[in-house]
Amino acid sequence: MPHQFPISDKEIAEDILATEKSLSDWYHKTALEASHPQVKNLVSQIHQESLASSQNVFEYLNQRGHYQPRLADQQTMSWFSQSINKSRSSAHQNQGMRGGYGQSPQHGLRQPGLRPEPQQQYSGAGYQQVGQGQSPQSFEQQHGYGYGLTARHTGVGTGTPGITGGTAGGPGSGTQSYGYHPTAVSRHQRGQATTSGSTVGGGYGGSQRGMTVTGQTAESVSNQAISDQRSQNRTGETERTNLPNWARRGSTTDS
Amino acid sequence: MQLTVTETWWVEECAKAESLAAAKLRAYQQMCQDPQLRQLCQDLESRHRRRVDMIADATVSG
Repeated sequence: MPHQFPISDKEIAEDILATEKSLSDWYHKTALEASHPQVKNLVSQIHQESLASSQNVFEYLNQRGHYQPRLADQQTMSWFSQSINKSRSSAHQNQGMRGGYGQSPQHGLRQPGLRPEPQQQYSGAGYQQVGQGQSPQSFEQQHGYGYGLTARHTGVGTGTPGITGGTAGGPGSGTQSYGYHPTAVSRHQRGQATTSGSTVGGGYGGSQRGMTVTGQTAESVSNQAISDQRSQNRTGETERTNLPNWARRGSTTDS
Repeated sequence: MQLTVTETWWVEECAKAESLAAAKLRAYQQMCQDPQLRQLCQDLESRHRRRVDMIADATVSG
């Protein structure tokens, strides 16, 4: 006598998809947390595979009409476009004054509206978008920055546009690159910025809005370097001048 | 391979999740009616088992 299971094929497939998504999430977080390169590579590889597995299950559900993502209507896409353009403008606001992101005019903001509108199509099992415009990679290549994990291979402060995103803490090239690489290598590179002097547009993000510590931007040095600088300048005014009166220790203006 | 405590925790959780997923897919193969879904379950189960082996080989055996 066959067993009667209180679960349908649709529910089984949906649970499998949820499981695959959850696993993919686990691998994504593990890849972020991994510091050993071999572990990071392995986990990243499995993460990519898990995306393919999720796609297989999605296609099974989609072909049977169990999972059909609804296309956004024109109004939603209009709001979406405005929101994305607003985010883009906000992200690049005051960019010229900072100089650290180092976008030269030819690599400046893209004009809103030049991006081709996505053409959405249902094609069999999948959901496709055609004419989506630039991929994140090509965007990084154009703008010359990225959160690449390979920043250590790019040298110091070269500012070369590229997917690797330049370096963290370059000695003030003020050109294309900045990188985010919170590893020992990155800290070392940022540490170089503490001794290299100039900080015009360089360093960690290249922003000049950071606290001034002996002529360097706070963002161009590591936290340890900042701490060292502070201890060295304990008696100086450089650091204190950035504090309000009530926060200045030993200040004569304290009441 | 010298791992950090953080790495061991995350990788261990991944291996547990893979093992559990493989067991669930094995059970689903008995439950489902659709042969295509059954085949999909078999494929995915083998993938999950292989991933556990990959993790073990890279972190423990290696």
